[in-house]
Amino acid sequence: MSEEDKKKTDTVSEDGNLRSGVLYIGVDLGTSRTAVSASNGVRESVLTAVGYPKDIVSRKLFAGRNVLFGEEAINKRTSLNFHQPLARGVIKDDDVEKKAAEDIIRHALGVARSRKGDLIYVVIGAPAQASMDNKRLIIESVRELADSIIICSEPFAVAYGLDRLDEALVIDIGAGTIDLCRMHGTMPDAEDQITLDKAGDHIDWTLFESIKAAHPEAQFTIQMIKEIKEHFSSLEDVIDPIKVTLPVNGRPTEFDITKEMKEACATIVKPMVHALNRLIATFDPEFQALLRNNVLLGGGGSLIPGLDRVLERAIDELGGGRVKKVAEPLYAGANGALKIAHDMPEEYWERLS
Amino acid sequence: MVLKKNEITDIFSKRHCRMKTILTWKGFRTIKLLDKQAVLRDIWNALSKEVNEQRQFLEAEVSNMRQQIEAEKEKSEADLIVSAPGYIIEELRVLFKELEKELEGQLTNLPGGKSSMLERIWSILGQDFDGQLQVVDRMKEDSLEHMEQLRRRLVRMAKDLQLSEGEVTHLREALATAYDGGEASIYQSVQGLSINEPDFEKKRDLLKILFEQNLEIRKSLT
Repeated sequence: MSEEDKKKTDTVSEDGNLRSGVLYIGVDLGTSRTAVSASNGVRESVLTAVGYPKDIVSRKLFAGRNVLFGEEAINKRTSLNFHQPLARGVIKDDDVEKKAAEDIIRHALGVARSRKGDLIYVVIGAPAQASMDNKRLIIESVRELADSIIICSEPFAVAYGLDRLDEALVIDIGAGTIDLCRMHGTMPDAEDQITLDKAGDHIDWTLFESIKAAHPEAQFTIQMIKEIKEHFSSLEDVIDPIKVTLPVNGRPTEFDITKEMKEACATIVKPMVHALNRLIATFDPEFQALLRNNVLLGGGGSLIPGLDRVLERAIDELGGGRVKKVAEPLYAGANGALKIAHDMPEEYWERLS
Repeated sequence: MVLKKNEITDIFSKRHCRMKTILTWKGFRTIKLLDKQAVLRDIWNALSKEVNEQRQFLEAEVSNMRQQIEAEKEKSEADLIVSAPGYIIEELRVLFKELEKELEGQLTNLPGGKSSMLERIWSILGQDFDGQLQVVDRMKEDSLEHMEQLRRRLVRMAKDLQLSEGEVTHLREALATAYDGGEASIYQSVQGLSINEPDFEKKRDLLKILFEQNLEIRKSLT
């Protein structure tokens, strides 16, 4: 083994265990949900939302807490200055948003439950087309919390984690963006990646508007629609009727939203197929078939039943292919980031600290 | 002249008295006129005194030994209750039998025969010791039965566990058939980049590129 090879593997002790005193954390910084996988076995996800009490009264209501996170922040948002700092896939260059992002990341790293005195090495999966400025902002947000930080493209993290580094097409369907990334044995560059801004949130708003149009008497919020989508979303050809109960003038009333749901879910398909075709069509013709047969679906959006078959039908025009869902779609990015963190040589971590 | 019997006796008596007087005067101790019966009586008295002393001594010895045995029994019982290994119980039995024989011999050899009181003491002592040993034996049997019961339960639980594992495996397989989990995840346990890992060279190069990209970002920050 060369000297360099030794350095590559020295994060692992002689007995095969991870180097003690270092906690490796993989983070998938999602627009809606942030997933964390850590080398101590912790695997958690938190909603990427943060809220600060509006005044002293609301602070008292929250038992003196200065900041609320995730679901609690969403549920209590009327009493809070509410932020979703990554709602559009990037952190705004704004002090308040930066502070919110920093708090979210701090919270996410907190759930990894590091021991006192452990070195914390973090790999963060960022949206594929995050700008250099945005990557800098993320690093600045984490700097105080971790001993060393690496930013990588989210789809690359997914592909790396799945060992699909050659002729694979990774589609990461998040809430704010859908990232498509073509893997061909090297670090994907701008041409290999496409980010679409019509993702999970887009389905929510489309469904919201269509239900509002079809049933103007129904009372609901976007959070209620999000929950309905998570339960009933589908792109299957044949599905059971989707019946939900929504209040009308305070009285619970049942509505059939099957048509609205299918249409809303279908809105992300066309742009995705277009991007997919573009990435396949612009690839080396000799390897296009391999790429078509190696399409991986990850992220929360991949949980929509029937999406894989819809995409397979769409790429039939290009000669057909195979679309597979990853086993742990919500953690695919975080797990891949964790694998990168483990594999990264200690020397590199030290130089980036 | 023929002397009559009483005359002869008187003569002897007078002479005897004279001799007695002379001897006393001369400073000699009075010599008693002892007959065979008296001598034998004296001997018997002396021997009886000696035998009584010896008997008292032996009785004290027996009492002392009984105390020692009691103390030893208590100690042995405490040990036996904790561990009760069979060989100690057997050893105590043998020792007790030997002790019994020895004392039996001593008691039998006593002049005047056995002491009924001592025999009674010894008998009670022996019964008590046997009783205690029987208690310990029962406890030992109970413990063995309990251990056997526990062993059987363990075997039963192991069988149940095996059945449960089988059911879980069956359910997993059924679930896996019902739902295609997609690409298998390899994240459960990651142990770092090994030279044996597939695409080692490629991954190493990719990590290097990623590092260099991050180094650029870091430089731009400073």
